[in-house]
Amino acid sequence: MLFSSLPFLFLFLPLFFVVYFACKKRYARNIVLLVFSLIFYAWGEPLYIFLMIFSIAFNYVFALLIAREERGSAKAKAYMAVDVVVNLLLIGVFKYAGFFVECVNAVTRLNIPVPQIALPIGISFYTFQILSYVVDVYRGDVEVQKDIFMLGAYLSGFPQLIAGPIVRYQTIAEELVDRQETLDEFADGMRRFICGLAKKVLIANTMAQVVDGILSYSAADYGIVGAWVAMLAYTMQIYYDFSGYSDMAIGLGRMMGFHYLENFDYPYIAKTVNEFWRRWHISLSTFFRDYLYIPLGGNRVSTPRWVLNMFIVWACTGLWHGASMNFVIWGIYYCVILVLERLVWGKYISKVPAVGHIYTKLCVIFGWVIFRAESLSMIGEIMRAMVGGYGLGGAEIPASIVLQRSGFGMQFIIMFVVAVVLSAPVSKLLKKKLEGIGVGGILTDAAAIAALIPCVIELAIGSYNPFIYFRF
Amino acid sequence: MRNKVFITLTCGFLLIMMFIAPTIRLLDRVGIISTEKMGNIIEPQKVYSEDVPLAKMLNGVEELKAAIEDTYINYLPFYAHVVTSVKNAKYNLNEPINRLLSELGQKAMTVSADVVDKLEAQETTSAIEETTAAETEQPKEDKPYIVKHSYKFITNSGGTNFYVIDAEYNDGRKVSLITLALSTPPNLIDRRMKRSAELVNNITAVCKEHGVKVYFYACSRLQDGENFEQYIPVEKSLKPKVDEFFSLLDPYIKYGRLKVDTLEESIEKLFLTDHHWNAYGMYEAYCDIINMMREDTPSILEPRPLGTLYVVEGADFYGTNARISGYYECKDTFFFYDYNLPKHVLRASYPYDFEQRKRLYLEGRFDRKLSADHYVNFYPYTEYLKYDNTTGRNVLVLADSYSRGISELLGSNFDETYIYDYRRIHEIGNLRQYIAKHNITDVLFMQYSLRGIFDNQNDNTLHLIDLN
Repeated sequence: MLFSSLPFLFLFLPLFFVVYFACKKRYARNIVLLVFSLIFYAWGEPLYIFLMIFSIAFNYVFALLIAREERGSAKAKAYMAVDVVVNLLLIGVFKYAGFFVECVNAVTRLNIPVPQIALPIGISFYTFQILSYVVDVYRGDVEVQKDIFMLGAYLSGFPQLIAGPIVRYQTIAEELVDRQETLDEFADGMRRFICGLAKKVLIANTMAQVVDGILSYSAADYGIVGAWVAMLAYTMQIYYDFSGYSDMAIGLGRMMGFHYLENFDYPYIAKTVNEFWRRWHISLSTFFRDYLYIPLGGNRVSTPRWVLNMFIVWACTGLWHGASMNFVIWGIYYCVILVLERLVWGKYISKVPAVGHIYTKLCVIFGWVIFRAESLSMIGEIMRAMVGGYGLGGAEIPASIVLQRSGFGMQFIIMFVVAVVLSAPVSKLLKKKLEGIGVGGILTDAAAIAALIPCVIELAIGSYNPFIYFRF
Repeated sequence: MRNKVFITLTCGFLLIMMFIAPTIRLLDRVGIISTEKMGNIIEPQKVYSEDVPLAKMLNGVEELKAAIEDTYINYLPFYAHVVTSVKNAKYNLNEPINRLLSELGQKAMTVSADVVDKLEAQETTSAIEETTAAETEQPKEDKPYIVKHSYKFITNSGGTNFYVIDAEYNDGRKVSLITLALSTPPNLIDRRMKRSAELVNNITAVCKEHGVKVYFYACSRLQDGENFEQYIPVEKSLKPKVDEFFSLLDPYIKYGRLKVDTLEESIEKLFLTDHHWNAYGMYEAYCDIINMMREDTPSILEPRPLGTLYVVEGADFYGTNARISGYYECKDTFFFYDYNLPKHVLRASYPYDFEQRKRLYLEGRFDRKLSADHYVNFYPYTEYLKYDNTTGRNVLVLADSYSRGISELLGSNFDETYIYDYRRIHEIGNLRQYIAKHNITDVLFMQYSLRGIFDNQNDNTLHLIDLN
């Protein structure tokens, strides 16, 4: 089920909160969360629900086994290793088996049949969540959860289940058993949810239509203008799509008294690529930092070893996003930039903020080309078009007709301008200023309610609604 | 206080909507109110075949999900009004930019055409003279013909570009129509087309084993005709692709298509604002199909003569193309033919009687809402027909919504006709057993070319027929 769908908004969400608040006890509320989360997941993947139940049960048992042993003992290490291997095997089979076989075929020129396995929605998110739990139990950072239903409620919690943010167990361990749902928190959560919904439905979907439209044509047709329109729109689409989803998840969590960590912090205002990654998909960056980069030695090692660490982390980051060579290249692309930024040009760029902004934006936009392209050849085509290799396009169809057919119109232009403005902390500043005056709060609420109505209308008339981050 | 008001308003809204949509659906079902239908059909997204564990339960869950989605979309208060007015507003909002881009596109095309002309002129001059003569040639018949036409882009939706064509006949009559052009990437078109042919061929292989004859009839539209580029120069005709599709079919299959090669033919045979064929188009398709089948089996009855025409005053019809694009500047007036068919059994998804439907329409007792779909409202979703004929022919029709209009007439030439819309195709189950059980002698594929050939919505369900 999608947050941005009418059955979710008008049936699932109200029904959930009615039942949730009808239960007085914390334990009962967590059970309600678990049951509704399983229904939420089963809506899209009725069969894979068994995979999730297996994952909950398996990790529950292994975390108990690890906790029973002395920290750092051989047995604890062995349990931990088995648990990590099984989790990675699961994600490996369901997400990467096809890609792996394709790679083997390409290298060995064999013709092994490529397994066609449907990707369970959100497997990357919930596998990483459960791994963080087991590793933290092993490290002694969190107490083991002795109640399987509580662990289930954490792992399958519908707010963050299918598109993140990656909520670590330690973030909500206490709140799972002791949290306060208040009217103020509920209202704040609702505001945040509506904000995320508007980001997704009004901005990201409008951008997506144009991006998909343009890129369905040949680069020789859309040319330099089409390529830049597509990639600028995609830059906005992916941000509003993903941060919108995170906002909705954080908002829903807050309505239940959970406090998930922020996942985005205005990434497009970054002045270096390093800063961009501190502001973009924070839950993923910190996961890799804490569970991979630092255990590998982080930056307290020799330069060649550090470069190797960066390579491993970024190759994994790329692969996490998808089982395709494009994503691996995308990860390596950022590895190269970040290494060079630290070793070569970082110190110069940080001295001139304007240059830093432009440099970072260009790096990010070209990064999105690799991310968005469906094949290696498409990366080359789009990049070539962006640097003018196809001129103004129009090889078979004029570029203006490509734009027209792709939905490039006044609605797109308005939404693009809004997207650019809101990608800077303008709304944050405005909100602060408004709250300083008496009617500020009322205006903020009026804006939230006013945003809800067009969202509902857009959802009613449109069927264009897939979340980009579902495939991860 | 502020938070209380905010929560009351937002949660109140969500709670009201939670109850109001099912209530509207219920009231509509029992006939207390009548909601506007937008032809927005919501069906189970997955169908589990019987070899999947718990298939029955899973299919039940899918049906429940579809029913919930249907309720919370199609039965929202003012749904039809909102869709109509917002789509229209979007069209108007985007219109200036659309016009600008069209002009730029036209200019670019004129420039490139000039370049091509110059290059060709260097090669031969006689070829140009021939082309010019063909362009200016007038139709030999006395029928009115179009002397002027122009087009404009409206929108892109669901893998298709929507255009409106304004045409003027030699007698001064002006007609506007909405037509579609497939916008799926060429490689995807090829892949889907080949897959469609493969699925048809797989079914044909089984039919061949059982001695069942197989026919394919494409419900064509303007883009499938060879002259499409004359009317919309920025698009390509799909005629070569349609021909390629036919060439991929097993030679055992006889095929045909509704001839819609010119704008005049499109106006004559298809609705102006809807993708379906109109009553005349249906008749021509009926004749084509029967004549094609009679070549193999003369015992099939000859096509009936064209029935009595009824034009329904006041039955303005804004079809699917108008509703999707939000363009309401042109409309159809609904008409139908009465063929005075002999007594027969008709089983549809709801009780249906042609005479009663005819009477209601002629008495003006029809849905007059803007969103009224007269094609759907007038013609039944027929599943089975039995006429007292002795042709010895029982036909299985694998169809889509095009079958609604034509089924009752088409079935009158056979003994029994079994019709499966692509949404119900899985109900056939095992084809061998089905053929044996119902004494099927002929299988007719009859689908909208965008679906049956190009699988534009990627919803081809022919693979759901069990061929083992």
